[in-house]
Amino acid sequence: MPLLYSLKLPQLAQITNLEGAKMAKSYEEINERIRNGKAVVVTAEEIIGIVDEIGLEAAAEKVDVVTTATFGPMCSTGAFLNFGHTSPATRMEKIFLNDVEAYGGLAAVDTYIGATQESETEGYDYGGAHVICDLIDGKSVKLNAKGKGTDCYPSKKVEAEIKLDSINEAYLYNPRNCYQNYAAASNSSDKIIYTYMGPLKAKTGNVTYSTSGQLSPLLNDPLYRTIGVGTRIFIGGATGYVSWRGTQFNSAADRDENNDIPKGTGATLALIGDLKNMDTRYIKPGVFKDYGCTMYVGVGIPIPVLDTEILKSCAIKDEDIYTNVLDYSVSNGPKPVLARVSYADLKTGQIEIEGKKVKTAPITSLVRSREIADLLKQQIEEGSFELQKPIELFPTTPVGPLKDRSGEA
Amino acid sequence: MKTKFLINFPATQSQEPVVYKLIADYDLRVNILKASIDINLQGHMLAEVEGKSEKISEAILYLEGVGIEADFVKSTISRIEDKCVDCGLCTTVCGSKALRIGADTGWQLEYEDNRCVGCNLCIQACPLQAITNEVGLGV
Repeated sequence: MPLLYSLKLPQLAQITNLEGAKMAKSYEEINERIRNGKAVVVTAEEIIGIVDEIGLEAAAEKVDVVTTATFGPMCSTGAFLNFGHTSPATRMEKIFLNDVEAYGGLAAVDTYIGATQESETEGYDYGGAHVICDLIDGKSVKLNAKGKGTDCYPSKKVEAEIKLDSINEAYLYNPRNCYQNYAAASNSSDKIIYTYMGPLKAKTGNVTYSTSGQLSPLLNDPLYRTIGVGTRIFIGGATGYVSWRGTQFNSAADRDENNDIPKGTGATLALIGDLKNMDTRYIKPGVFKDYGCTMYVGVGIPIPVLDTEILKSCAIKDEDIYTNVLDYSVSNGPKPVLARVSYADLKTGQIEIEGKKVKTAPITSLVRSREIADLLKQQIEEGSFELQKPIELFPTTPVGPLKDRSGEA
Repeated sequence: MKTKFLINFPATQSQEPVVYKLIADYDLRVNILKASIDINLQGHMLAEVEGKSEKISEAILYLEGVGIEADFVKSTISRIEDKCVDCGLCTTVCGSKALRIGADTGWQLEYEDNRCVGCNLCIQACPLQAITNEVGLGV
């Protein structure tokens, strides 16, 4: 925001009056400004105040990039690893890393370790998410693998200590992340339930929600005009990319007519990033009592202000984003909607469900999300992060049959 | 003054009417937060105690005199700062509002140990394993 305070109002008024204010910028122009250190970058929270102060047209003219971010648990997380061959070589068919099983159905020394896979010896207090973060932290991880022995891979067993810098490749792959408008959770039953949304107390005793709200990537680009396949992103402290639409992608969801945000769960993103450049400040294992382990993944996505429509979406406020509070005591069929509330309501710490005041609590870290949005802003301002135009945009029409699984993580 | 006592009873002293004594002899307001006695007749009690500071000192001396260990505790939990990411999920189980997060705290987790009643529910609720049990009392 301070960036704009240096502008005098008459200047802004002039900008506003430019030929019907039909401004448009290209990726090339914005990247040129980034390379010259002249790009104006603000976060998706800062843009709200700017638009309120100087108006949409002037803000769209002035601001080049808006940064969005989120830092919450995402079970659909894992990492591809390639160990390199031992001598004699083993076709690794059953693979364990610190007693956590990794997938053995790929080529001889390739694997995928999922964040939610639990340790054979310690249960869910230590799982795939912990293995991935131990690797990022440079710790030694015990590899045990077995194969049946083949002519080309005669050895049947490998026991080794590996480290991130001793293996060939290591990249994080999220089949699903950045859920667009994830529902909040509560529990109408008579007993407490323990879920991936945390402990949900009996008789609608609490509500938990997982979103960075007005800072969340896909809530700021509701129609996927700039976030698509190939978009360069911040992920877990490293630079990465949107690799595909995420699993359970549901862009054909009903949308709010005022801001195009899906009324229920909408799109998701599949993300990829180099583990070797990550930092566990921005990616951390999470353990949910009586549920299991998962991964908190920090994601930052820049949105180029190509035109005023894009900026209008970026200026979305928590009070204008509505989501459902679902009843997690129902596991057979779609979860019933207990209330429909705005993110601003959720953030007050208390909402009303059927006349009863119910306490709310977040699961996504808003301060860490803000830190990521600020860090990405800084990287763009410094010229170390340029924007990548998507090579393919996501559809807003149905992409295939999607079973109604509203509320599933 | 107001403080918290963590009282450990050896098996030989589990018949001592401690709470009655604290109230009747030392004029203390005692609010039992948690109490248990195990199969070996060893007991633990976490209590909030309010009264004149000299009476609180005398009460401690009395307890020690009858062979009961008593200690001041600020809180039964400890937050590991570098593990905590300020997500706020722990606040959902904290009925005493010792753990708080919201716009008023800048969305940073705030912990007021004097409000903690020692329920320890936050330890298991924390997904980051960032809250530890300080005095060995269970949930």
